[in-house]
Amino acid sequence: MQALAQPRRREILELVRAREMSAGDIATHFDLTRPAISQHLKVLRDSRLVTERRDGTRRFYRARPEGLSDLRKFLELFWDYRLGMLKDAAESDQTRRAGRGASPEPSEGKGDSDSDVS
Amino acid sequence: MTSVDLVITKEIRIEAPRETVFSFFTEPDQIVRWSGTEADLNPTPGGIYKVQMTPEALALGEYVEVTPHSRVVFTWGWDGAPADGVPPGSSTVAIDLKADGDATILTLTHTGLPEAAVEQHAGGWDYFLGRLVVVGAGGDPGPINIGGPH
Repeated sequence: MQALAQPRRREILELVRAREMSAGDIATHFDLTRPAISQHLKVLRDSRLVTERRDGTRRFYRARPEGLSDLRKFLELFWDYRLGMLKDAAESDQTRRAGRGASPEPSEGKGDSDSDVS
Repeated sequence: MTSVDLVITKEIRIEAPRETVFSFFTEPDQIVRWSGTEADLNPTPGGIYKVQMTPEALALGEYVEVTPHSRVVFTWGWDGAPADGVPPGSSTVAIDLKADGDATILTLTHTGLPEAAVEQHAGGWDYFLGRLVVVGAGGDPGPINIGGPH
């Protein structure tokens, strides 16, 4: 399942990110057949990146915002954590090096409580 | 604007010169101090970037750009991840280093992430997220097991 490997599907997702749109309206934005659009929408729906609402014979689609949030949350924390470790390691090297010569700022490299990760 | 690009940007100030910080992205002995346990690196465009981050998570990619002391770009993903996860080479991490007096401002930009990873792997993310929070609070999260069922 590669819901977003296909550029068209990413474009569809972008279209319905801010507002709900019918399948027909979505189709007017692309130079694709209706069956091809329907197929893309089905993949997006099956992977739970969009929600589908039926009204009579019409179908409306909208992006599920929470579909994107977990990966972002994970990576934000992942890099905060890793870069925090990088900062500690680099600064402990620096402290060691400074300790051999003139040390302008004799601080403990490890256990630096004041992390600048933003 | 044709896609829902997921971009992660981080900026951090490190009290060490750029030369030192740069080595943490190009030298195996240095990279394992913040990013894993074992590494195989060939910091030249097209060269391998392979870091065993945890016993079960292997980060794989290739260096794209290596400009001594100012910029490192590499592709990045997890070995064995499905196409809708973050497989090797599927995303790109750019590291920019700017001198600020004796310190370095590091900017990390992670782009090209496959948004579809989210739903299918939500359980995995939640699991890892929980571990990071524990580690961040100074606790021991216990043996890692992100490969298996949980």
